[in-house]
Amino acid sequence: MNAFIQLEKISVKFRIYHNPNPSLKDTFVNWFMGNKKLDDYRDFYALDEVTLQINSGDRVGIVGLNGAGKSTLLKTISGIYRPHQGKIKIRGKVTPLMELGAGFDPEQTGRKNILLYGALLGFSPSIMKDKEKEIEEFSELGDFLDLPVKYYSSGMFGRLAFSIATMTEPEILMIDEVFSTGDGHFVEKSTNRIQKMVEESSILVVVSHNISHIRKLCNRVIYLDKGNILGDGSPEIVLEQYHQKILSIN
Amino acid sequence: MSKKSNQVIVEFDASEKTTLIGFLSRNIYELIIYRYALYNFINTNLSSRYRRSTIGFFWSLLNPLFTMVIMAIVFSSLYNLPFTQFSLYLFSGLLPWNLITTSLINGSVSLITAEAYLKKVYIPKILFPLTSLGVEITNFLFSLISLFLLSIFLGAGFSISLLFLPLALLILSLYLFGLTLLISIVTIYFRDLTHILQIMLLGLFYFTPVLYQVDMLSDNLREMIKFNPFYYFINIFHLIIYESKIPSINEWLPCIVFAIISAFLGIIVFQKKESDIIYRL
Repeated sequence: MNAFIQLEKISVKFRIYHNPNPSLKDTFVNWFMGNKKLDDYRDFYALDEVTLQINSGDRVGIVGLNGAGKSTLLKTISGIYRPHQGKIKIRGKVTPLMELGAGFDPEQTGRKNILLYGALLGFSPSIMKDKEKEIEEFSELGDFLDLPVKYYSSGMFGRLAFSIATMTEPEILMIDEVFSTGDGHFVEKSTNRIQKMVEESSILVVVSHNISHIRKLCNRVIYLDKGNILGDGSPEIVLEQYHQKILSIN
Repeated sequence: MSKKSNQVIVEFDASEKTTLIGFLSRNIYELIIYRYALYNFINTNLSSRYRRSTIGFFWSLLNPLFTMVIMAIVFSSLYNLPFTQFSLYLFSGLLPWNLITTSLINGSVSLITAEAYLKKVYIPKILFPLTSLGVEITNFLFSLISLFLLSIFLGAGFSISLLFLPLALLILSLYLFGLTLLISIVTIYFRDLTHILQIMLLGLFYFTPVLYQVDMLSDNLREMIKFNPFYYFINIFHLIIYESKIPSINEWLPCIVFAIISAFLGIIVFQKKESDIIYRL
């Protein structure tokens, strides 16, 4: 497998509006009163000309302070955000492991939600039916799988979401802070499964504030700050650089 | 799965403008991949509408039926028209009108309510306006069944013109498809559009011959009503269901033209603004 991700001078710009909920009424009133202020916005670069090449075999950890653009970078690679500038080239199927349970319908049973969640990732019901047994075993939900998801405890909810999200064999795996769900037993089980997925995938990109996770999983670390790459290299060197930055702030 | 999908190549260049052909082929390709998601969205939406009631989805048959029966009783006595005759007229216009209003109003908020999905996973945005349209068309078909049951009960026979009903629905759907795409995008920029739309549609309802017949109007009003695009669509349904006539080409033509213009406009606007949506939610 020769999956890769190439980013060339990628910029993602957010506009912060003075009025986040624009209405026709406001627009009309402003136009009538000659008031320009509500239309005002300022640009904010979440990613600022980021150039990056990730090759097969890379296990990349992304570190940085809040608002550095880490999640934006993952979401840009996933195709959620369309950059305003730059070029992207990706080979391989991108599997995001973000925000567990995003696609759940609380009124439907767990079993039905397996199909719903799969459909959101573009998988057919027949593929998901094949995986159902596996998901059932891994999540250990038993009879609860036939109950509507709204009756689940948050731990059970997380277990089901995790079991579905991780049942695919990913080529490019993207993880955004989803390590601990459920009780101690399940945390260990899910950590093992992530480990296995990481081994099977050809590229891993992981965002985490937990440095020990990054140290354990990654062979390359990228340090982002205000949308710029400040460091890129072996975990020891870049994590040290990041650590120094945190110390300097404190 | 992974072996096969290693072919997946994403190539994106922000300096290249997306072409209309590119937009269409990508969306058709993605709709094939995500067809289960579309089906599931429509399905859960419909089933949640009539959840918690014992006779479940029969409400989708009975509810519009009872509403229309009440209206038919009121207006047939107001107009001094026989109930059976007027009720068939009323139903054959009211059903497509309900399809129009519900799909436009639900379509207008379709992208805004999908925020949770759009911000978390990559999913083709066109799925959401399509979902609200799909839900309303399915609802329309349910109501149509109840209309037929009723018309059999009222003693109406089967006429050959009914064979043209699918064509009429197809053209109306294409028209609504374009409008829904357009409105779903515009509502992102003007959040109060849904409320304005509700009022406008209520006004348009009285400007469309549903509760009354065109020949009840004065000549002036009859000329004015020709500026209302919805009139032509409702007219087709009246002809096919109520008058048992196959519409002539002059009656089809305005509908087809409106449908094509609307679909074209909707697709253009969606193509231009699609990638901006996520930054505006």
